[in-house]
Amino acid sequence: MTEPLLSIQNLRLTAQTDRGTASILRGIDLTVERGRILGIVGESGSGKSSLVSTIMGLLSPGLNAEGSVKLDGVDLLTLGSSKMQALRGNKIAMIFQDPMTALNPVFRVGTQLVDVVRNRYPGVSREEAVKRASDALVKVGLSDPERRMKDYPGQLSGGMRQRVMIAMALLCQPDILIADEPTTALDATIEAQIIDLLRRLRNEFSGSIIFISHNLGTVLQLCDEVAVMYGGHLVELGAVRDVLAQPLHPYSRALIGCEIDDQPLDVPLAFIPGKVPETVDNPPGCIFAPRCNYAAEVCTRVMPPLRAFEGQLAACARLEDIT
Amino acid sequence: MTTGTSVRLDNASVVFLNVIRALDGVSLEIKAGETVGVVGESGSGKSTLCRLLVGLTLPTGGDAQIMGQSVKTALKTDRKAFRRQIQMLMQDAVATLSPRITIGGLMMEAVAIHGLDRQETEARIHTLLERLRLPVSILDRYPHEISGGQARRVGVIRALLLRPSVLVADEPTAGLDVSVQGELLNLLLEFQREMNLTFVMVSHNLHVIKRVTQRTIVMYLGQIVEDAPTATLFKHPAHPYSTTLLSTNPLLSAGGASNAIILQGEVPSNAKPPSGCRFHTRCPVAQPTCSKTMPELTRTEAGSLVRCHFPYSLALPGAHQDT
Amino acid sequence: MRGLSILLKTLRQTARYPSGAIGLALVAAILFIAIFAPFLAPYDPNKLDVINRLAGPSAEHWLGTDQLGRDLLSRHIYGTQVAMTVALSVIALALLIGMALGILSAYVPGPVERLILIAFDSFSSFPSVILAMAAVAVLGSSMPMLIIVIATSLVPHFGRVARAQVLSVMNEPFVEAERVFGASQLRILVFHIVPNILAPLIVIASLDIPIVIAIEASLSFLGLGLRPPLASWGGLLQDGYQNMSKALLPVLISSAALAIATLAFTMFGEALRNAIDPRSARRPD
Ligand SMILES: Nc1ncnc2c1ncn2[C@@H]1O[C@H](COP(=O)(O)OP(=O)(O)OP(=O)(O)O)[C@@H](O)[C@H]1O
Ligand SMILES: Nc1ncnc2c1ncn2[C@@H]1O[C@H](COP(=O)(O)OP(=O)(O)OP(=O)(O)O)[C@@H](O)[C@H]1O
Ligand code: SF4
Ligand SMILES: [Mg+2]
Ligand SMILES: [Mg+2]
Repeated sequence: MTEPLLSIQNLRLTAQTDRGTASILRGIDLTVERGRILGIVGESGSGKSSLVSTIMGLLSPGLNAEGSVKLDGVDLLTLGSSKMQALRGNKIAMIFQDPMTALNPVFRVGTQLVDVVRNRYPGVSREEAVKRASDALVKVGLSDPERRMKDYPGQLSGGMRQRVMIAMALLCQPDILIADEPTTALDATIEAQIIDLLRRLRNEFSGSIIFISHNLGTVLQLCDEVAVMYGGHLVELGAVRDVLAQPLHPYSRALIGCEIDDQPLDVPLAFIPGKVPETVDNPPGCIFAPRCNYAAEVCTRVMPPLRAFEGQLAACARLEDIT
Repeated sequence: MTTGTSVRLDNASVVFLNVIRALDGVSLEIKAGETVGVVGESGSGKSTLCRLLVGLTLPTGGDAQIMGQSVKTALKTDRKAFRRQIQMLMQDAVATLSPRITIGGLMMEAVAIHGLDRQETEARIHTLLERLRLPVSILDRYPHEISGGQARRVGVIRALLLRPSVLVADEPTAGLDVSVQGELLNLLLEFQREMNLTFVMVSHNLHVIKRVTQRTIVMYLGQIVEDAPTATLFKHPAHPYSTTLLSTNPLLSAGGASNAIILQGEVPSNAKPPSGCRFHTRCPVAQPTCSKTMPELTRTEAGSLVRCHFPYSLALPGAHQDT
Repeated sequence: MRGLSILLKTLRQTARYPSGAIGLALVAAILFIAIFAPFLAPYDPNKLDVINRLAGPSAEHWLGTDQLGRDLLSRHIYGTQVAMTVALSVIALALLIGMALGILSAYVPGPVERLILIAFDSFSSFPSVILAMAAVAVLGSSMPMLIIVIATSLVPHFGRVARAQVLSVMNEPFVEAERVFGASQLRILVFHIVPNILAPLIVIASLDIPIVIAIEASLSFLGLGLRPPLASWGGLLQDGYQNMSKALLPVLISSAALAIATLAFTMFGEALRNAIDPRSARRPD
């Protein structure tokens, strides 16, 4: 068996705050095989972006990561910042959740794209780099690439900015592409086009993709596996069709039950009642227990680890009782 | 409670740099207490329309009025009163939070700027935090220390603190998981019922539009191409662009499969809009007249306003009709 | 409270790499010496000891004495105080005025903007030293005068950066969001723009300190700066240079003091620059 492209072991992420130590990731184990697309879904604030920022080595100061994140056997957490910098844009690239933080407002879009190409392929001529940049813009569905290259990020619409970032990541042709909610500002047509593009990218370069999304329909269309996160934990992991069709973990069930498209129009929209976990609290039991419909006494003792059950992995103590 | 006109656009246009026609002669009237969805392709001018309503962009032609007063005048005579009347949630949630101020500080600006009662505001903040599933500790954090979906909800709370009569929301549910999204929309709808809030919402999520709004405006290349009661639109779209847009809506129940009508041809540039009907270059049912004369917005028998010479000539494919 | 913790965090970041740590330590030491000069200096810096002129290092005079028999160690310690007083006052003044003009030029387009930009351009087309020399020659030299003159020559530097920063921050979505929320122009400026332009200005300020030290030293060396009995590094260098044939040590000590100070502030400033931009960490190069 070959080694997985990315393997994460017992990853913890903490921050010191005025209210004590905040645990943002509470021990994540995850592997991504070469050529696979992993979806990550989960509650807003559950740590999805933090997980991928850790992989990218882009943690804001004050955050502390423990455990290991191995890319091709190299531990990224202990790699120096200059080596990490060299990896970014080459072996790994990321499409950020918030385009404005990733695009520099004072440089033209074209300049930023060309820089990416020339940084990745130092031998490429200027004209060639410009050509590749403009091709990439067309690929993500932007018409009039010449005008768009001259625009500053502030002159683009929200969806255009997002696509510029996608184009940027595509130009890198990375081994592993991380996409943090890349299609939130795009309509279904363009979203479909982007999804298609990502799939082709995976096939052409046998790269892996980590795809974070709140849109379960899109995850279903694109991903091979899906990981469900809640409160800094990975609570479920499995083949995408299995997990979305037959979720095991009570949180996954509740989440999928909130999907809008098949609810009748006259009842209020579904949601999961109860308090969300505070990052500064460390409850002894299952992180979801306070909001879980199935919680029992056993759930309040320890956080159950991920375990295999019916071909999926889920972190729940009562899997046998509730299925 | 009044049922008078709350928002009014009179042949409003926005032209950037003398050539980019981001909005082109948009006329629109929204009654107090109405919930209106705005949909359309990326770059079609949805955000520009929102910005026009709150005075962030001034019309280069025509006029924008809120509660019978021109936005320009309202800003001059009593800026703060106008701001309390109309609030907007911007598309880029994280980037709209001032980076050097804590979330609590940003919310308490309502007290500093508008002289709201401090204690009452604090109490409301806590209620709203709980309602939108935000941890209390978020108040001490800085914008870069919270997640994308949390930032989105912080913006909502801030706007609601002012109890506006008009709320313009640009993609309010982007980046939220379905469970939180449901709760947010329930909250906004409650507000709307209790305070007769006029609610204008841009969204790419057609499920949300269908669930929440009474009326939907479809935009294409800076123009309104259809303006119809939401139920009517989703059953019988009159404009061919509306039909293609609705056909792309992915349905989780259909296993992610869709029979979307994929548009051919390039998205035209709003600096050189096509002659005649703006949609004729990509319209599946275009006729020779379409490229010659621009259709006017006209009312159909079903009560929809549509800008097309041949309304209802493109029908929705099967799977989308009943849902 | 928050300000203090941010300061401490930034300093810790600054000291993360060796050059930053060394710079920080040296800067702290220099400031310490400057503040506590009267307690640290073994002698009055102006006390003459005509018998021991140009003496080498000894138990009484660790660094020896100058041509008038004054204790060199004490003179350099007081020189540090003088240099720091001048440098910090100049920077504070230039920062304040530069920021005010920069913000004004960004906020008031039209004649005001053009006037300010022309002033910036004409001032910075001369090297600071030349400008200062001319001004001192005409206006005479005293410490306040010297501070004003050097500060003026640095104003365009701060002004331009402040202006560029304001122009870019002004269009950030959060400024628009504040406007929609009802904040006044003044409130936006004070609470949302200024805090976000401060970081690069502080970095420039720390990188400009060595320049000011050098300008002040050159002017004093040329006799255009601070007047003799006052111990300034430039003046000390001049004294040492005059007597170089008789004793080499004084000139070496003064040069070393200057070199260490400029190097320390440069290293510190560069480390500060790397530490202070929180967004550079999140932005993929
Ligand atoms: N620097 C920090 N200091 C303290 N807490 C932080 C910091 N950064 C993030 N957090 C907290 O960690 C949690 C995880 O944040 P993260 O951005 O990873 O969430 P997410 O799963 O990506 O959510 P979303 O779907 O809303 O984007 C959140 O509760 C957030 O508030
Ligand atoms: N400040 C500006 N300068 C120049 N062009 C602009 C500016 N702001 C917007 N535009 C252009 O106006 C058009 C409409 O932009 P707008 O942001 O309204 O689109 P949108 O419908 O909100 O799209 P999205 O769904 O992608 O957010 C785009 O072509 C955009 O490039
Ligand atoms: S007017 Fe013609 S081109 Fe335009 S939408 Fe209608 S049928 Fe299509
Ligand atoms: Mg996120
Ligand atoms: Mg938009």
